[in-house]
Amino acid sequence: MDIETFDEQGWPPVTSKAHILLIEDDKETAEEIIRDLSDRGYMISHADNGRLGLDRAREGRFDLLILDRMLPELDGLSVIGQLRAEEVRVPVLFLSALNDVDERVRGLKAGGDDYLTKPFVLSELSARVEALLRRPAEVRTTRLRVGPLELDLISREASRDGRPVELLPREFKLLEYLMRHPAQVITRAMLLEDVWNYRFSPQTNLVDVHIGKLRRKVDAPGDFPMIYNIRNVGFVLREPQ
Amino acid sequence: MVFACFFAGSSLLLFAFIYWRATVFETNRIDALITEDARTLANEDQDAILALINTHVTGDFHRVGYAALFAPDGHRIAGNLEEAPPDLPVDGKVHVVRATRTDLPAMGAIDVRLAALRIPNGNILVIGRNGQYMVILREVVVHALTMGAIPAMGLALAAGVFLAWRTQQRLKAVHRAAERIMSGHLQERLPIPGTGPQDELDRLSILFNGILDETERLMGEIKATGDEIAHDLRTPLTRVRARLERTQKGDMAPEETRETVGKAIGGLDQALAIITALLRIRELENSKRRLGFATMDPAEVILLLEELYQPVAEAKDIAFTVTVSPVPPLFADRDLLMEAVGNLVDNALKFTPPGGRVSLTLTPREGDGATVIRVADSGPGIAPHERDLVFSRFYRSDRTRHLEGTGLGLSLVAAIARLHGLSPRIGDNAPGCVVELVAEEAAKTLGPASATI
Repeated sequence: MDIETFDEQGWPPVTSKAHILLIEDDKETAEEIIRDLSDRGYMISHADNGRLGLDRAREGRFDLLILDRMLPELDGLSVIGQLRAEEVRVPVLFLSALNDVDERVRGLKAGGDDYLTKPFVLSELSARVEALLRRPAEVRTTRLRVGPLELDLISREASRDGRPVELLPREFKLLEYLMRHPAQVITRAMLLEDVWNYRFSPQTNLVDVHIGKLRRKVDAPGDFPMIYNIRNVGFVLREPQ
Repeated sequence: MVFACFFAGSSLLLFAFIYWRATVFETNRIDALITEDARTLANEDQDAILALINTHVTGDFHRVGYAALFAPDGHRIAGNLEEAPPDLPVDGKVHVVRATRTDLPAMGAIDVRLAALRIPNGNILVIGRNGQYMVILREVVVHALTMGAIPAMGLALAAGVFLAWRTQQRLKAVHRAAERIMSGHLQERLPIPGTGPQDELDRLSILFNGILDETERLMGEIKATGDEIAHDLRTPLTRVRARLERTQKGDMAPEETRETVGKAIGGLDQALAIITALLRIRELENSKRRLGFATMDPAEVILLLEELYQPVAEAKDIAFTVTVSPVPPLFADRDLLMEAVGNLVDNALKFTPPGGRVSLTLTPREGDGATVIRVADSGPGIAPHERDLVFSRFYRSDRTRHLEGTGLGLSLVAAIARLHGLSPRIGDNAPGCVVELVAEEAAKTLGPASATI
């Protein structure tokens, strides 16, 4: 049974109508991002230098900041440093042409929530935007539930419709990640980074194999499928419909 | 110029010293002669003394000697001294006093070196010489100076000017060459004279030329790589263009359009992946210091990779064996090490046909106990002539370049390995290939004893 595949268009982000501030000095990159995110239903404001971006971010009415690392007037690290010093807690997604590991560490240490290296594909950006926007604010839950699927985070047990699903530890982690982001497009890079802590673009169909294995355990024959493939982007887990 | 002046000054000083020492020596010699003569004469009787004084005076053609005998009251008995100098003590020692010759009155009273001695009968004997020899000595020295020192000084000056001029010419030549190099003529070299011993400037030029050789080589490598990359990028981009052009015509079914555009995006992704990999390699090679470095057990990475790739091997019907032996901790960036070894495993699984074998081993090397991370496969292997090249910067193996992917995986692995002080090795697994990352530096510093914990 092959995994059911959808196109991205069928999955508008549930977080649309969120207000995003884009601080990016490159005109064409900014235009592309604005067009793509607007198409997905987001409201975008744009600042083309660090100083202006910081001033606008201080208004405090944004749900997310997309911040370029290198900016005129005031660089991205300084912008986020200022905001965090002023207790502005808005999630920040770093964009950078620098793929240096040190740069990533610096960006995240300065208070960034995610880090995306240029060049990137727009669907990767929008998937991460949605993940950041939907990030639950410190939920100390011990049970996750998506439709008939249930995950006990204490006893590390999974079940569907009360029937236990045997999972290896890493499969459990993978399912937990998907269940924390229900009905949301998750890219392969996000899974590799967040589930395996692996920053690498494999040439093999690594993620697909793991998702396939998990799916065979979660979506037993006769069940409504819950894990779907999103063409050219990644995967989604949602309640059976 | 400064050198010439210095040389002239020091030659003058040398001559002054020689003159001074010669004067002292000559004076001492003459004083010894006078004293000796006086003593010898004083021992004779008066008649003999008179005879000798006479001989002394008449035999002295140069008119430099003095000899006279005076009565105790100062009356001259014989000799060529006008009078007994009143300030000359009668002690047999040489004193400089003013005196006048009887046989050359025109000379007047001059400074003369005299010794006075009382002979047994109470008369006073005076013997001496005038300073004529000093004049001669001075003449000799001045003569020597004009004959020797002045030409030498002139020569030194000329040599100094010539050397300064030559150095300036050479510096000018070096400067001109450097300017041409700076303006982009990297094939230019600093001039080095072909013959003669090397001086500091030559050695500096040779060193600088060495730097230029290396720079030119690297530039050449980058240029060749640039050409290759351009070629490699053109292939997917050409395909993308063709697909988009077909789509633009608009006579495709929606499903086909979607598929064509999907393929086009895939081609662009491949081009992007090549660019990203190149940037990453460059960044890895440029960085010296890493924030993510820590002491860690490499087994952790190996076991995580086993878990990550075992399902892929199963899906492809490949026997994936992972062996972990205890090794000393490694100072490494976990993410980067995982990326490097993961890259090797990923590659091995990709190139090994179904039914084949892939193994991942962490083990101390026999002998020195150096940590070895080894990935072996039963795939097509790498041709011997390519093995030395696959780890060089930006080298793309023939076996990978026509396939999907960047083909830069091994260059990336090599860059990460070098950053960790690991030596990348490649060999034949007959069939297939074996790649090793060896912690040789760590083994050297830790020693075999601690490396075999």
